[in-house]
Amino acid sequence: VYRDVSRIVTDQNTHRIVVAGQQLSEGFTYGGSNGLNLPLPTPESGDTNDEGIFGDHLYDCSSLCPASTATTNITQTITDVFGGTTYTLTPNLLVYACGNITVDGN
Amino acid sequence: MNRYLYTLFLLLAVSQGTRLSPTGSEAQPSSELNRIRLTSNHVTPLQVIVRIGVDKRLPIGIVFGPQPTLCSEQASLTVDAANFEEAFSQILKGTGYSVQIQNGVYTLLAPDVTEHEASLLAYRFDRFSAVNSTLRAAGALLGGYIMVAAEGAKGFAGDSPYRLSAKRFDIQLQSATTTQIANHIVSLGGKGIWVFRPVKATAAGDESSIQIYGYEDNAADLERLACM
Repeated sequence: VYRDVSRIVTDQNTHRIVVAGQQLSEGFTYGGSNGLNLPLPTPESGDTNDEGIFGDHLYDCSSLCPASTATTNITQTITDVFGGTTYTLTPNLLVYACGNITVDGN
Repeated sequence: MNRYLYTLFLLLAVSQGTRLSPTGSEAQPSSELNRIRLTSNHVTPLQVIVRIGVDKRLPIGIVFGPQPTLCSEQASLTVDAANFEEAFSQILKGTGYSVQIQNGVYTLLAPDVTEHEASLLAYRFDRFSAVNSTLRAAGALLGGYIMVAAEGAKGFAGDSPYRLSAKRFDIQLQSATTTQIANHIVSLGGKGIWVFRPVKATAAGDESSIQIYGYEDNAADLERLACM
């Protein structure tokens, strides 16, 4: 299963940071169960457009699918190089299942 | 890799191949107009190869071996070649790497490619399918295919951030090897480079053996491209 989402970085007051060229790098750890026996994703990088938005292409594949109702929960931590400063963003929970993938419950 | 920005002194003189008028009295052969000439100081062969790929939008594959010979800095590197194959051969001189051309993709092969690497590159998949993927995401997906189909992993998960303006593709291939799939991907859109490395075991599991970088969308990653 795969899913494309558009995401934006916000500040501590949840205000959107509408700035292009923010350099985003990610890291992963298990955030709970690994019911689908998935290895952690290989970290990649990306950057934001003029609206401060970046795309995220998520996908999974497990030999337990499609029958299993289990999930693999992975914590994604993004670092954002913005204005010469590196910020570690609040971690996100990625939940991979056979039929869908969610980001922080969405 | 930032040193790359400061120390690379690259004079890439590649004519656009403009033909002289047929009435001209001293028409030069087009092969002369297309010669590739460059001089670089304090660079690695890998940096020059990537630079040529970026500048000329040349689809490239690199099969690294255990030894990082492509990343040995050279005080001076000069190329004067009639075509890209010859240019790469000159750049690779002394590294032991060889050049192959398959369907327009220039593949650089390490002299010490492991048997396991060779078998993974030749592994034939019944089908490969990527939907709405950037070149890089398609490469990550191919890495997942390799882990599951060829190396016995029970699954894979991926997350590929991308610039919203990045070109995305639907890819459907049947009965294709890893190399054929990678070659197809780097020939799409603005072209790119695939790199294949000996698989490294990490605490979190095996790292993906293949990565793909698009020239248009992954320039920063290409500047940081390393041999290991």
